[in-house]
Amino acid sequence: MPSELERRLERALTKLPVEASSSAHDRARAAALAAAAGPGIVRRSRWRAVAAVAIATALVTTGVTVAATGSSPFTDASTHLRPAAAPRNPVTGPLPPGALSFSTFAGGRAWVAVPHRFVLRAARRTAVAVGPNAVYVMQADGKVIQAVSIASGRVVRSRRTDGAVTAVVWSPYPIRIAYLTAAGGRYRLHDAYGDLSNGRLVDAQVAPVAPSWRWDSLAFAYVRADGRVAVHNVLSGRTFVERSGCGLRRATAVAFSPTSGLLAIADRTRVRIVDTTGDTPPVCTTHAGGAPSIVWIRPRQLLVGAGTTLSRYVLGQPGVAAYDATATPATISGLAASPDRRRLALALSNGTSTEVVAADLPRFSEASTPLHVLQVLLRTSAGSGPVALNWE
Amino acid sequence: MSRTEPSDGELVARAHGGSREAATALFERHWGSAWRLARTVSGRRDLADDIAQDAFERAFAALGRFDRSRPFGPWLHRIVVNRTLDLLRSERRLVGLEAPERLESEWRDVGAEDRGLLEAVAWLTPQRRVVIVLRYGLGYAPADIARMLEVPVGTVHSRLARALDDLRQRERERNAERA
Repeated sequence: MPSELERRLERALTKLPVEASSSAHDRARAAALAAAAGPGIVRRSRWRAVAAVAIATALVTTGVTVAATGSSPFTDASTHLRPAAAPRNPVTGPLPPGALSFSTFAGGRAWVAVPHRFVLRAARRTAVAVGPNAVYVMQADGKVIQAVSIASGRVVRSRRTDGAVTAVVWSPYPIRIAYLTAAGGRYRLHDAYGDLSNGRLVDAQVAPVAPSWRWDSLAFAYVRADGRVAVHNVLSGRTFVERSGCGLRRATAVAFSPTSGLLAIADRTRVRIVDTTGDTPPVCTTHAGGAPSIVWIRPRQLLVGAGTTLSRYVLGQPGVAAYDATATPATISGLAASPDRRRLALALSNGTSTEVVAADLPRFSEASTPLHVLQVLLRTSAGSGPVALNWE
Repeated sequence: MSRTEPSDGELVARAHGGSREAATALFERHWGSAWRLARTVSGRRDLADDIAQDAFERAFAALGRFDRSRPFGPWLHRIVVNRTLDLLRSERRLVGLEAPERLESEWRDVGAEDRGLLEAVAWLTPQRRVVIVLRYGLGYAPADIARMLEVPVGTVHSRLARALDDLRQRERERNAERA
């Protein structure tokens, strides 16, 4: 027979209201439906493969260049090409719809937009990164790194570093940051708490590539000075160097999956996806060629932007189960996904200027649908070099 | 004639077959319980949103591996519990958060008496909190909880008993403070 305490517990716990906001509910539902759709896409890949042959043939005859079409590295793959983005009078504004914050770092200038205002506007900085949920922005100007409250605009913490800060990356839970400093022609990697306390040097010789945090904020991947990729565990302080493979040379981009230990590593032509916490065999594939930007849009789906092609890979068991590609009107120099991963931000550079746009995530099933540009977020005269984008 | 609601197994089969409606129905059917579980075990609203979403993503991505002869709820709840405990563990290690300090005063839309009890639940260790929420919040039998947590039934019983003792002790302390 239940005691009085047990009866009270039942009453309190069962009638507890669901306080999730409608946006959290909608976001979760969209993510869940997208996750459920994953296997469907893979299952439909047989007829896609047939369609891919026809499409690929058409592409070759029309002289269009698409990554990995003629030399697709996987056998059970489907390939689609969408026409280049053709904005149909996209709106202009610094903040994508629904965003808490959007930041751009290009050519030594930083922009951080929040609803109704800019926190930074073309400010001269050496690095900037908005934290999860847009509570703090970490900004660096040379050897000084600062945590700034977005709400108040006040500098919460400030620290001097051992070199000019060139990149800052927040962990998914806004607990820690990893950042790069440059001094004497060498790059050093540090990690610290989000309030800039407990700073530690992780590696004294790394490549100038932004690190990527694992979903649980317990580890991050980075590129060593020799071009190999390492994963540093912030709890144990231990670092594991990933084995080379897939013919990858010097890694120029790394990105952890948002929900697992899957890590995508890219050089200028190839992509390798390794399971850093399990024993799934590595996946090897290629991309369009050029400086790559990687973003994961599902637990087992990623986009690689390189040159003027946005390549999508759907991971199967094992290998790449499906693939498609979307052409862009200029070279992709930066790529980010919205928090619900239904939209993308792309920095498109033509050599003399860069345009940052927000676009719908191209639907896999709509081969003939062009990249739908929703909004032009920014135009800058920085015409080359990587662009760091951050959508919160 | 009343229409019978499809079972979880039927919805899972249809969702796995590509039915968006079935996936939506399955989500709506279990969102509330998953969110409540994440909320009460983590003790935090902000984490509950993320944990519940993450659990659904994982569950829906693995519908093909789900045994349709079994109920969907416990499977999902097990994922929620595991994600929550992982997260709490990592947060505690990283920033040394003292969970109870963060938990109090976060309950809204709850009566004063229940709030006191919920705050006392939040003071429990995560392992004891989990069994309390699964037992009294979701109505699972100790044997079901043991299967979900992959521990012996005796362990569940002892955790429940100790948790109830802790709660009684906490109530006595609160009453003494008031007096």
